[in-house]
Amino acid sequence: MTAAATLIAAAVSTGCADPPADKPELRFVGDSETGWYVELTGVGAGEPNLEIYTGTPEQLDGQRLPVIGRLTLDRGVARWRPRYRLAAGQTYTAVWWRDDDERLVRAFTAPRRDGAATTVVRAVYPAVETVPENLLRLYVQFSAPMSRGRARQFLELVDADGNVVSGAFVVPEQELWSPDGDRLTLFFDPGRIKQDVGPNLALGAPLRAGQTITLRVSADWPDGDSAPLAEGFERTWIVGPADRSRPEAADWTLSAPAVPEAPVELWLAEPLDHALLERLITVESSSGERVHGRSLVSDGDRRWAFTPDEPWLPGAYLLRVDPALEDLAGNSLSRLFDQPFDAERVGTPAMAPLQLPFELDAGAAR
Amino acid sequence: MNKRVLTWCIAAAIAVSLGWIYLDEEGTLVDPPMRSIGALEFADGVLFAGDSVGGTLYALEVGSAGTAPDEFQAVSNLDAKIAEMLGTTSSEIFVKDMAADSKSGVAYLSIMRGGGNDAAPALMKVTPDGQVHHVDLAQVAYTRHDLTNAPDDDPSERRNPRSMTITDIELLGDELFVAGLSNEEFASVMRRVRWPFASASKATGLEIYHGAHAQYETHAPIYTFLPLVLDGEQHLLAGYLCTPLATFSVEEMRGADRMRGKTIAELGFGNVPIDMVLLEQNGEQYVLMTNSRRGTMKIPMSDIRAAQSKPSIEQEVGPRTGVDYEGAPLGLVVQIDKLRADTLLILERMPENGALRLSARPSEWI
Repeated sequence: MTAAATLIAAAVSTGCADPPADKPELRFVGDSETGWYVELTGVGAGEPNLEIYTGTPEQLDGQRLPVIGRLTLDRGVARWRPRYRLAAGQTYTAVWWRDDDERLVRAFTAPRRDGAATTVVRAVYPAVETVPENLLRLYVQFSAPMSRGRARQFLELVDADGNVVSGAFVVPEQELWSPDGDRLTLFFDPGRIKQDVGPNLALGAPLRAGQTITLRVSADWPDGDSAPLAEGFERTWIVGPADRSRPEAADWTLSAPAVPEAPVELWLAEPLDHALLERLITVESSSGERVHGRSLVSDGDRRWAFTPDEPWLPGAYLLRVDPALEDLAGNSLSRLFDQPFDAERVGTPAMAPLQLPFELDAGAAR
Repeated sequence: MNKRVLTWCIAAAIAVSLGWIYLDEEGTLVDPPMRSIGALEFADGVLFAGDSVGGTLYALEVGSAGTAPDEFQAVSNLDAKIAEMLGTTSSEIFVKDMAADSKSGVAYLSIMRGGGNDAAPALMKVTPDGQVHHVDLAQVAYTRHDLTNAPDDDPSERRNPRSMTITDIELLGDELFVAGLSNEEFASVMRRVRWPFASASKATGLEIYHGAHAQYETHAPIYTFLPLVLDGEQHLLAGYLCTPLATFSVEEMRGADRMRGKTIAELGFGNVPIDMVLLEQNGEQYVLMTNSRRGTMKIPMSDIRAAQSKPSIEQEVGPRTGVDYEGAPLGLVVQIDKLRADTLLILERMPENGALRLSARPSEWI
């Protein structure tokens, strides 16, 4: 224990106490909610020799390092609290000793939580039937936070013949989770989705037009509470031709809200990236103030709808679309996926946010 | 309350008021609000740590005490030792990064304990005597810098991803360079943060020509990078997925929202570069780069300088173009850092049992 920790331990304990002269007792106390700790009583005043180890008493070989924790003394009761919560399903052994002949050993296995399997795959994006051959990414949306670092074990992409497509995704070592831990992003290797380049020739394209591709999620994947999924998940897509054109805003249909509580809707000519759609379109009032509300992407990632937190007021509004918005193949409003960046275009309309005005007349707003 | 306890209480109060340690109302130690720990960089007693889940950069004032002895005692089964101390099993220990303090000879390891909802960031250090210590984040003074809350007046920040896995951090003078990987955009943004933290960070969108993919990739994220002086000017040498190497002039980056780097080499597809260090051997310099699937590459600086003097690779090329390299006689390297000018610190997975071993190796052996 560092000097600072000793200092705090002493400062928060009540200091002196009269030790009860009971028989020494050692036990694990607590519950899964607040966490488990070790309590030692009946050994008198002074700091006792108390260590906690992972494993059963039989596994203690003298080499094991004790679990990090903090000891406090309170009226003859010594409490050892782990620095990190005792892990569900893990066995621990507490050892207290005084001189050579007096010793207590207690083993304890932190109970697993009831482990009800409730988490499911709620959706997979793109929410379409046909994906382009040069599809850039998939999102797997779970109903609750998942455990990290295990995707490779429990998720696979299978081709039309049922063969696992190995190395299809770009970042197997780095799992890209949403901050809440309930959505996983999978990027396809751009070298494998582009035709006739080294990786594609050597390893084959993961997606081929005219075939199907299936994403399989195993039910054994532990969620954030270590419970398995309630059920496995499978989604099959038909692979269509590659998409090598930019999304055209001219083909979109903007539908102003009919009543103050209704959403403003944008119907797209082709499905766009689900996550970017939710994030990269914002609404502003005529005075340039951001309107707060909720975006919803539906209808096969072709409809974007925004409902304000407060009903619309009559007046002019603006949808602001970030040109970084991309289609399923990573082509954005401002450039194709594999087009070089052109410094000349900085500051030109092509790189500026797209502005789509709409109006709510006094009649609609009652 | 006796006098000694009173003195401790006053000392604790002073410590708390200085912001060195953090207590809740019941006097329990409180962690910094760190949600995860990953990429590390050590400089002058400060350990910079990336919190990808929280989108925050931390500067942990761990200090630097003593002078490094010549020997660094190797540690076998390091993952098991860390697991024992943190009260769990090796399979729940995820080693994210390693950084060495050359002055004291201490190795710091960023650890995620567990992958589920209880996952906790932990910091461990190994001293030159081969002892493994836990560095309690609740007792380390720190400052932090938010990488996600973009200021309104910086339009480039609007494109910033919602969550970013920080892949590498390097300190250059008083500026921290932070490379990251988004969970939505396949984007390449290099952030620059003034140290000590004061103002908002600046971001530059980077792109390169990827010779193996025969296309421009704005999108390809940087996995590891190294500051190098080339042609008398400060550059960053960046390693990308499927392994192009590119150089970026720091001077140019400081003045640009977007820039294109010079692709100087292609080192093979199906691979993620992990770490780079500068190595000196018999008066010659090399860049040592560890990889997920292509072993450890020893690239002569003379090759890098020669490639830098040529135009960027801008057509499709094979998997070993631009610079030559030899395979370094190292096993499955998990992490690498420079312990001293003539010594490397290597964390590797042992072939016989898959356990992690940390050892120092003279550069001349590599």
